[in-house]
Amino acid sequence: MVPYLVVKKLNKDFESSGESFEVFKDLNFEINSNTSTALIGESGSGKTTLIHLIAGLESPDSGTIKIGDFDIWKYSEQKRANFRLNNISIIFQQYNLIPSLNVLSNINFHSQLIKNYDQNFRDELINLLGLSKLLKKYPEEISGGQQQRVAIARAILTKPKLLLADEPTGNLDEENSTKVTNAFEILQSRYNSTIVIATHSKKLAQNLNLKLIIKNKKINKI
Amino acid sequence: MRLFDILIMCNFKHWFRKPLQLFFLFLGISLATTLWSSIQLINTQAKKSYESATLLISSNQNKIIKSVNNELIAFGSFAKLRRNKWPVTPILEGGLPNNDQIKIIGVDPFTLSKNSNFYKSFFEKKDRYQEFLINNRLAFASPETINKILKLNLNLELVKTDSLVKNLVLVDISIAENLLNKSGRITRFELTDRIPKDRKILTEIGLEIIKTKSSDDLKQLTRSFHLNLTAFGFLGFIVGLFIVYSTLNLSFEQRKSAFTTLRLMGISIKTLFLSTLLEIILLSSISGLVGVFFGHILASFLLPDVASTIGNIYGANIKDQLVFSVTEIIIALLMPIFGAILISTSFLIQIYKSEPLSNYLPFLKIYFNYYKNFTSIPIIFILVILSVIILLSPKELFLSFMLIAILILSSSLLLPLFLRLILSLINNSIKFKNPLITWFFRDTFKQIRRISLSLNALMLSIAVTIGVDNMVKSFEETFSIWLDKRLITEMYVRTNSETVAKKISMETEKEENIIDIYPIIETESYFDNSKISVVGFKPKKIYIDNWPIVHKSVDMWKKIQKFNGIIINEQFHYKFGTNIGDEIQTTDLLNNNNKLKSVVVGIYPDYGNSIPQIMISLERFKDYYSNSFPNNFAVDVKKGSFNNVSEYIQNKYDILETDIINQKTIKEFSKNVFEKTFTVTRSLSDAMIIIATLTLLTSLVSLSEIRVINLSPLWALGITRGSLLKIEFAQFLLLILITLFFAIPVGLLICFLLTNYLNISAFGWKLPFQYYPAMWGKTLFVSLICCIISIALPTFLMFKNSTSLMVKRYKNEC
Repeated sequence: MVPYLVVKKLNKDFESSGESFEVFKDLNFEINSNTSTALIGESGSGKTTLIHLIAGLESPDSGTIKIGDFDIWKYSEQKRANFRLNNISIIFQQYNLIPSLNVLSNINFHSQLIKNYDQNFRDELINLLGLSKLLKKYPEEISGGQQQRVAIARAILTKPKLLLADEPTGNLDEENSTKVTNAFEILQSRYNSTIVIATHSKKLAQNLNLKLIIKNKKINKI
Repeated sequence: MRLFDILIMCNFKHWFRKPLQLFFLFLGISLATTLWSSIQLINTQAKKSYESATLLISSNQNKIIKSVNNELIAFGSFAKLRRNKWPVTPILEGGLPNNDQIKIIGVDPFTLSKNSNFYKSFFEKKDRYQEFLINNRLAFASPETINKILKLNLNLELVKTDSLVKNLVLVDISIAENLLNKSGRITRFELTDRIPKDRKILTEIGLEIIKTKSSDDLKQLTRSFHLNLTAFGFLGFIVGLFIVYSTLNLSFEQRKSAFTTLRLMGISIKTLFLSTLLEIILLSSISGLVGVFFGHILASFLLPDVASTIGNIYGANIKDQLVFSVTEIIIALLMPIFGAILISTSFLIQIYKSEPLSNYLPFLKIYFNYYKNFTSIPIIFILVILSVIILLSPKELFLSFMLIAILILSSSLLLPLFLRLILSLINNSIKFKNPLITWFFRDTFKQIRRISLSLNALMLSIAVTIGVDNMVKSFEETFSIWLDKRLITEMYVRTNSETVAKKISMETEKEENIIDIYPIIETESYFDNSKISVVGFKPKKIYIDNWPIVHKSVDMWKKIQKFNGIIINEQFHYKFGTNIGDEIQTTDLLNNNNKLKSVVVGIYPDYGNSIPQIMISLERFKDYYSNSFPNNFAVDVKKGSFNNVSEYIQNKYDILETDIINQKTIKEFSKNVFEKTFTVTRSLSDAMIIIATLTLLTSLVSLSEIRVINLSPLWALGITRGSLLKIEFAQFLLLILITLFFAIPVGLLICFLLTNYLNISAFGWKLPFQYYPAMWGKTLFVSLICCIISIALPTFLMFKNSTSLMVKRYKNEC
């Protein structure tokens, strides 16, 4: 199998109140295409930071992150943004819905932007994630769990090559978590996407192909 | 440290952590206070000066007695008048022979009226009167004047007073005689009581009663001028407060969780409320004080122009240097404190009503409920009804200002609705293929709430500028044409001597360079118990061809020449509601209540005059006012012969050069007065645009942090910061362009109200309403450039630092 995501010698420090904290030291790992990976670790271990580094939202101090042939931190912000727009979908902990658009427009937005909008798949996702009654509502009018499902639908609808999800079931009950897991399975099986999920949920992690644990600034396979 | 102190410190720590917010708060309050306090200082200064002007006037404040020839009066006349029981007091005044700047006023302390305002305000303090009676070397003057006269060694005992205008020295009349080298002479008499019925003595000794302007007259005359300044100052204050509003509200939003925590910790509502109130008072007092300081500087800068305008138009002398008192500082400070409390009211109420476990209405909730909010519609409806009622009422100055206030208020309420309507139409009628464009319009719709106050400030300042500029331009053109028509001849000659006047009437026509001569005579009369001016003139061809008329009947000139037709000025027309065809009867109180019946056959514009006036043919005038004679002459001279004719008249009739006036001089003077009249108004309207763009700048900078967070989902999706920058810029530009478009009709409505209502109620004349699209275009273009700068700067800064902010937004999730 060809590795799709390759992280080499990744170093990242944070500065807070004048003090420096090392998050990652010489981090190395590979993830194959068309697989699902769970990023596991304690709170504050750096799961979200790693997602941001892979997505090109936050810059590393050193090291390389390659997604396919694209060395994401080698290029300009413009090219990085363009790559992200067309290849990566991110599910954020805080959902990141666009406040001025209603639920339906939020779901459609990203896929319409990159012109791979698929109405049938959209309807399928809406039904699967139980969003059909919320379509005309605005983000501030729905609950946190509902917002999270909208964000998941938006990310999956783009059929991304790489899906990065940060605690996607953190605010969901068991029934809705199962629906989300099913949606991820559809994405991987039908559209050959590579999925990386940062999660605390053992149940979600169990169903994924690979489990990586972040501990003491390093990453290891379980 | 007490709990209250800790709370205050806690509140102030927010401002130290957000220095930019603190800066904008200071900027807003200081700017608002600067504008307001400068206008108040100018108005107070003028008021003080009008009161000082009563120095020249005694109990009977409207009348003085002067020599008919305008010459000095012999002291013997004083004795004659007193023997005939005339209640007069002598005044001798004039410029110091070796320093013309200093004006000496000599008064007789024994005959001064004890009931006069002057006596009450000047002498009742500190036993000054007794001192003045005993010591006739006492001289009163303002501190700055004292500094000047000290150098002149006049051997006077100088007493400082703030009651006198600059360069004026009040002394005993005997001292004035010596200082002015006018022994045994009097400039005029002032009346200390009612005028006796028998006035023969006046004619016998060559004196006449002349009406002069009292402080009340001056206040009345300049009322509209000061009201105009106050309105502008207040509008500027409100626009300045818009800056404070967005900053204060943002700071409150950011501290909501801190307030909730404090409540949960057990801090009482009362303590929290009072500490916040104290914080607002302290911040507004400090920044208000800075504003008062700059207001003083601005007032000092504007005052010479204001003084010159008031002096030229109304003949009122105001000091062009400011006097500042602690009371005025305190009064000036009350406005920013009151304003800051007012704009914080909604938040203070929220604090007062809060429960420990309830959260305040979140910012986003307000932000998103906004598009469903139509509460302003009934208010606009009520305002429209109110304005209709006012439009149907008589034209009063206060009501005219009310109309403008209603227009400003309703257009402010209407602007967000208008913006929402336009964007809703775009959103609902056009289906964009690109979701980013769909988002662009929907998000722009939401932006309205965010910057609606700034847009309102912008709209108001542009509308006021367009309105005022359009009115001024209309007036300027009308005034220029009017002036050309009104000044029918190249030369004007005036004299106070009846003999000279008769000679000029009869002889000058023989001079080869004089084409014709037109005597003009003016007197005072009464109509409807109000004073009016009556002008007698020869309705010859030159008048028929040139005299400006706004409404006239058929054969108007014939009716004036041969019948009892008269023309009235607009002031008369609007004040008494008199129209063409109406028969009017004027009464001459000085001539045994003679009544003059006439028919109105025309109405003429009479800009600059504050008195209702009628014009009748000289023949009828002479029949009616037999003891009057023409004292003004319009002289039609051959081209290029002005100097020759002037010399001829000066030599032959012993007329001073200053009494022969060139038409060009009057035009230049009038146009200069015109320019100065509107200097302050124009400066204030320009200042408003600058403040409005500053409001826009400050609100965008203040809210940029929230905006970055709003835009971060798009950035996270992969839309570049560059694209977001362009989108953000385009959104503001779109809203600004709609606002500018909206400002044009509002500005024209303001202009309409100014020309058709305010001018009539304030000055008594109506101005033609003209359109100057090029001028509006210039205002809009300048405003647009200012706006582009004010949106470019925060947008650029926002995106320059946005990566760290956007990352920070996600970092919290680490």
